[in-house]
Amino acid sequence: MKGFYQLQKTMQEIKIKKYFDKKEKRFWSGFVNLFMEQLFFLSACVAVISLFLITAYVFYNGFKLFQFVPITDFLFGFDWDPVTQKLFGVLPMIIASCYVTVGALIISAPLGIACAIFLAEIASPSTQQVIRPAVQLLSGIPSVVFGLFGLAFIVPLIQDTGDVAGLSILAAIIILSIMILPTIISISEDAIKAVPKELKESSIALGTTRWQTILGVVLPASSSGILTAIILSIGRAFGEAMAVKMVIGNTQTMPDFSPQTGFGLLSLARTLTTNIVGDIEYAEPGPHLSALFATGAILFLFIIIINATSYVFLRRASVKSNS
Amino acid sequence: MKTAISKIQAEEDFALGALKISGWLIVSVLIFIIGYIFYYGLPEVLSWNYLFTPPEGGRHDNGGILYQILATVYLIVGSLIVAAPIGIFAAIYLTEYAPQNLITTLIRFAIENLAGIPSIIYGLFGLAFFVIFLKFEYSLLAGALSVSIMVLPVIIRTSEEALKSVPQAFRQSSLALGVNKWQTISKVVLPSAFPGILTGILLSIGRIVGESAVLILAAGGSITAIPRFVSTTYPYVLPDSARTLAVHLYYQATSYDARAKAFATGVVLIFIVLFLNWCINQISKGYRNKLAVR
Repeated sequence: MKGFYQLQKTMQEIKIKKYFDKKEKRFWSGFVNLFMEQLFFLSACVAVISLFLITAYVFYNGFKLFQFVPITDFLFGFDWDPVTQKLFGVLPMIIASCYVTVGALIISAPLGIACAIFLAEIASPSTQQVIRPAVQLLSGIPSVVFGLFGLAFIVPLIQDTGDVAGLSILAAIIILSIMILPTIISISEDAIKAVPKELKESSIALGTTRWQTILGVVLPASSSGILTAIILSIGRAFGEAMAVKMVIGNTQTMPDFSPQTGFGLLSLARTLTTNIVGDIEYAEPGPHLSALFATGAILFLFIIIINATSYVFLRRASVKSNS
Repeated sequence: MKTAISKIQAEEDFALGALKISGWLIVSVLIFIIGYIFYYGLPEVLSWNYLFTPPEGGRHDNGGILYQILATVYLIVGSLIVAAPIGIFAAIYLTEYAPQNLITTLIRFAIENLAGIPSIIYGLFGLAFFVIFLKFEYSLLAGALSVSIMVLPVIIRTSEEALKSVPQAFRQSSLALGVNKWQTISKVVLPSAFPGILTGILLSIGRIVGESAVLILAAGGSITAIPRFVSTTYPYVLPDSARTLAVHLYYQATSYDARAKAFATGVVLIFIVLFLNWCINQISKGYRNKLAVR
C-alpha cells in the first residue's frame, strides 16, 4: 500500500515537472518567435540604412569640393587638372559618358530587342536552350574580362584602320553594347512573353503574317516593358567603370568631335566613372579627393534620374498588364 | 495582287531571317570572346603552376595567382557572412511579416535603388565610410563590407521569389498544428525555399568574384603579401589590402608586359562563372523535377 502511494506521488511529480517543462518550452519558443520577428525587421531596415548612408556619404564628401571651387566651374569647366592648376571641370566627362551610353544603346537596343523577339516568339525550344544560357553566361562574365577582350582585340582592330590610338570612344561603345545586351534581352523577353495569347491569335486570325503580328501587335503591347529594359541598360552603361576605363584612354581633354576622328568616335576620352577609377590611385585628401566624390555625386544624380524614369515605366507596364 | 503577296512574303522572310541572325549573332559573340580568352590563357592555366604559386610582382608579373585566389575566397566568405543572413532575413520579413505601410514601401524603395546603383558608387562609399571614417585602411574587410551591401539586393530579391513560391497551404497546415510563426518559417518555409535561396547566394558569389571597381577603391591593390583572415591588430578580421582575381586581371591587362598573364587570370574567372552557372541550372532543374513530381 505504501509502495502504491509512493508510486502515485512520483507520478504526480513527473506530471508537474512535465507541465513546467512544457510551459518553459512554450515560453522560450514564444520568446524566440518575437525575437526573430524583430531581427527580420531590423535586417530589412539595413537596406534603408545603407541607402541613406551611401547617399549621405557620397554627396557630403562631394560637396566639400565647393569650398574650393564654385559649383559652376565644376559642372561647366572644360579642364581637369587637379594637381598643378587645381582645375576641376567635368563637362568633357559628362559629355563622354552620355556619348558612350547613347552609342552603346544604338547598337544594342535593336540587336537586343530582336534577340528577345526571336527567343520569345520564333525560336524552337531546342534553340532557346542554346541561346538562353548564352545570354545568362554573358551577363555573368566580369567586366574586367570584357575590358581585357576590348584591349587585346578591339583596340588593335581600330588601330589598324588608320593613324589612331585605338583606345577610343568607339572601343568603349562596342564593349558596352555587348555588356548591356543581357539586360535588354532578358527584360524585353519577359515583356514580350507577357503579351496575352488572345491578342496574337486574333491578329493571326485576321490573316496577318508572323512578322506583321510582331510589328503591329506584340511590340506595341510590350512597349513599356521594352522601354524599361532600355532605361535599365542605360543605367548599366552609364555606371560601368572598369571595362570602359581599360579601352577609352582616359585623357582629360574634351573629345575631338571633328569629322577626322569620326565625330569623336576615334577620339580618346574620359567618362565620369573612369575619372574616379583613374585618379583614385594618386588623389590626395583635399580638393582632389573631394572632386572625385563630387564626380561620383554627379554620376549618382544621373543614375537616380534614370532609375526614377524606369520606375515610372515599370509601373505603367504593370498597370497595363493588370487591366 | 500576286506581287503584293510575294512582297509580303519577302518581307516576312527577310524580317524573320534578321531576327534569327541577331539571336545567333549574340551566341557567336559570346563564343568568340570566351574562345579568344581561352586561346591565349588556357596554356598558362593548364601548367597548373600558375594557380599554385605566389605572385612575385614586377613588370612582367612573374609567379602565379595563389594569393589572389586566397583573397577572392576570403572576400566571398567575408561578404556572404554579412550579406547572406541579412538578405535572407530581410526577404523573410518582406514575404512573411511586412504589413502594407509606409515603412515597407520605404524598404522596397531602398532595395530597388540599391540594385540600380553602379558599383563605383559603392566603392566611393566604402572608401569614405569603411576605409577613412572607420579607419579600416585599405583592407579586404572594407572591400567585403562594401560588396556585401552591393549583393544585398540580389540575395533579397531571389530569396523573396523563392519564399513566395512556397505554397500558402504549407504555412497554413503548419500553423493549424498549433506551431508558432517562427517554427513554421524555420521548419517548413525555409527548407522548401532552400534551392531558390541557394540560387541567390550563387548569383551573388558571381557578382563578388567579378567585382573590381569597389575593391580598387576600398581594398587597395597590394599584391605580394599573403592575406590574413584574422589578426591581433585593428580591424582584426581581413585586415590586409589584397587583390582579388578580377582586380589582379585589371592591373595585369593595363600593364602591357603582363598582358599575357591577364588572359590566364581571365580563364580562371570564366571557369568560375561557368561553374556557378552550371550549379544554378542544376538546382533549377532539380527544383522543376521536384515540383513536377508534386
